[in-house]
Amino acid sequence: MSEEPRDIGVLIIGGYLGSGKTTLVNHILHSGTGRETLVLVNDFGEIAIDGDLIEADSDGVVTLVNGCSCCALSTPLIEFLVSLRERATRPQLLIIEASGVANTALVASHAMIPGFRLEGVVTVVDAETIGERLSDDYVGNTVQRQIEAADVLVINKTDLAGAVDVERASELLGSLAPGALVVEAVNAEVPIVFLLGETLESDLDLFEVRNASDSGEPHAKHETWSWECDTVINRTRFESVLESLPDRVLRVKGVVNFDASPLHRSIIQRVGSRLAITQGAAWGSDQATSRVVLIGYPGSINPKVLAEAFNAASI
Amino acid sequence: MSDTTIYTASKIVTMHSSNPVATAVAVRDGCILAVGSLEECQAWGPHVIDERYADAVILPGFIEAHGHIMDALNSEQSYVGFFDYPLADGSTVLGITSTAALISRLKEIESGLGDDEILLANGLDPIFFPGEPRLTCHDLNEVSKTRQIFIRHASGHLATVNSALMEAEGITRDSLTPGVGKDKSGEPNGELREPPAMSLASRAFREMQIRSINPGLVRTHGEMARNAGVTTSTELVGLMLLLPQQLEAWHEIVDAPDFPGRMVLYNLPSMPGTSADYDAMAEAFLALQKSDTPKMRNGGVKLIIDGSIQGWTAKMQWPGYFSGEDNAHLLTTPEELKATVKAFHRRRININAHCNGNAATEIFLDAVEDALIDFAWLDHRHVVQHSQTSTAAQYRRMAKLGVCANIFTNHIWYWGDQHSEITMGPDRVRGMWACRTALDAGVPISLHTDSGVTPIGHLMTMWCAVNRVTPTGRVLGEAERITPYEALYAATLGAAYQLHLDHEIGSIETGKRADFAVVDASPLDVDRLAIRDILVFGIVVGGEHFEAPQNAESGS
Ligand SMILES: [Zn+2]
Repeated sequence: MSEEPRDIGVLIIGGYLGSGKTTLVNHILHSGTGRETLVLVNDFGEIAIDGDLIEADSDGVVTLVNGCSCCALSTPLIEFLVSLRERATRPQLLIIEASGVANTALVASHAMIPGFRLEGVVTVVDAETIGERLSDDYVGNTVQRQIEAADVLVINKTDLAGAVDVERASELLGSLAPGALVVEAVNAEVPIVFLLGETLESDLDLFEVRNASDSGEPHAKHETWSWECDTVINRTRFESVLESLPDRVLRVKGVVNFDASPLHRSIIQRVGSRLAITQGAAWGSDQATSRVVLIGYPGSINPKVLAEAFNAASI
Repeated sequence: MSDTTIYTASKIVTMHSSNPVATAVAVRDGCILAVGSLEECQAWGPHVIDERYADAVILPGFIEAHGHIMDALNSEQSYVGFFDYPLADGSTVLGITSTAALISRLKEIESGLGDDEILLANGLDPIFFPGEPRLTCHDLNEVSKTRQIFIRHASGHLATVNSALMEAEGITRDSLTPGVGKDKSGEPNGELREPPAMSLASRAFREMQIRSINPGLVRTHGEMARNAGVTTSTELVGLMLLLPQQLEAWHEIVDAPDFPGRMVLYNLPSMPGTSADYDAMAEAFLALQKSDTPKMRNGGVKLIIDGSIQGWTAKMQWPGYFSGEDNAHLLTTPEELKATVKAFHRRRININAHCNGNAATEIFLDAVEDALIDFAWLDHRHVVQHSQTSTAAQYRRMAKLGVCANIFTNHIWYWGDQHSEITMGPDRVRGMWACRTALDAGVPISLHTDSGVTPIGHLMTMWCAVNRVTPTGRVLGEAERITPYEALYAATLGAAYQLHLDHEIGSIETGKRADFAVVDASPLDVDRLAIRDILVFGIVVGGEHFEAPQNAESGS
């Protein structure tokens, strides 16, 4: 098992035309993902029928077209993913920028085939126009579906919209996707840790610190809690603790020392109800301290209850 | 001087209004020299008389203005759909009407396969087995416990597989991919819904993909068209802009003297649901057209705006669907469609738009209107394809805008009962496939089979348009019936008009290509309910004769 190549993490970026998807992708690439990253622009180009069409240009960006509705033509994305996982050298992270009318939930299910691990679905909305889009006779349900599929919703262009628009957008999104993390942004500048599932220990600090600040930051509408433990953790009990968390806890990230795999770090990543536990680096001579960070809506986090639950999972 | 051959017939229905009926047609250089009585034809000089069709009826070759070569898959791999399907060799594979019939058909196919082969079958439609439990891997395990079995359903969105396949491909209770069907105990039940789950059956899935984009399918499609009297067919999901490397293979097959017909392609400028640089695609299309030959042409581009009615993915205006889920979504946006239409329209490239729902029709008409205001190409003949639910007001608009409708009348027979009971409702279904309304409004129409979805052949599309009868005996909208003459016009000259080829084909008229359908009776003479039973003997394409195989044994 340990010799098998790691699954490729997949981040889906969706959103209607003009919402700022490409800006967000550029922002992510600029900020750096810490991993070898390939970007798939699911819009322009040719059908990837065989593997050699997936050679990326120097920026690590490939383009291909994704059919999304009918018959045999619905599968270029799968063809692409299958050929990608069969390559000798594979990226660690694949960012898919979906087309403006894409059904992002369906795109996301492509990333749940063997060899891939869905890290999240991000939907970008334009603060100013989202209300209008949602009530549009023709595209309203497309936009609504993109919002409902999201783990993270980025309300973009808040600088161009009035405060009332932003507030209204936030309410709309909250009612359509109560389980999603909503962040406000200018030029799609969203802290990377909110978007990516992969968790490095250094990210945890960032994640926690950013959430601790409560003014001026785009995510002040959330609260956060963290837990540390120096003893070994029972994996089964730990998983049931995660399962019992309230719905309004939006994200869990962690690095844990499990009884079942004591030599390596286990990386915890939960987006919505989707839990992924993957093997991280060996502890080696490092102190094997487990650490978990939660983020949720105000009122979703009861430190006393959580501490008791997590402590009970340690041996 | 070239040779002239005069063909005599018991009757020649020309669809040329100045000269509607004849008994002889003279052909020179693959074109029609004269049409009239034998004496009139003889007056044109030296000739030979060919009496092979003396007892038959000659019609203009039928023109299928919305086909797909995918129907050839039914000839080349196992078809298990509900309705009988005529194959290239002239035989007919009988429809599968129950799970028991499916299992015995599969056993029969299985016994003929080599050791390494997997069993792929296509077209299953359990919507027609009411009351039967859903098909699962357990049913298919009866066919084989060792050979992989993959049954693709008619919708294309679902497959059912057996346990041997799941074992080989590692599909288990732990499979996380959405769409893997599981039973109450959490074990996978063999249902794989939507392409991501279907792709878990990697070998079967890949094999099906490879087969479905094989240009060689066009050869078999041509034979199936020939058997139905079709002399010009189309591929409405042409891939020449997206997979230009296929062009040569197509030409090699279609231009060959033994290929029984002409093909016109409408090419996708982008995959459905995605965008492209449409100006660049339009330029690429103009370059592509330079490769056209009399037998194979690129007629225009195809835009897919919405989904299907029976899949609840067609975009309907208020009040939407009668019952069932509304999964409708547009594959483009109104703004983007306007820009797309303009890019092609201003270069005088014909546009065929897939519009099943009337909301899709509406945004397409908006886009055409916009393009016309900017660029006055009046003879564009853009086509609303399928046009299953276009409204009377939309047909009036189409007439004003010069837009044609290609109406999917075969739905009346194949899914009409379902449209009445489930999708549209018993009242509103009367206004679907509104051929009468379209003609009265002045919209040029054609009829189509969407070959592969229903079998190619205009005797059936005409029969549907004229009778509007369903398998349970319902009449869906008597007021929308058209006459046999109007239906035959739609299937010949009407289709030619939409292809911008009415000066060349579509009627038996001096100067046009000698493309004929040879049949045993005129659809204008037989009882209206007997139109679909007319026998096709074969076709003539550019003066070359292609016989349809007769009396081949029916079976699987
Ligand atoms: Zn079609």
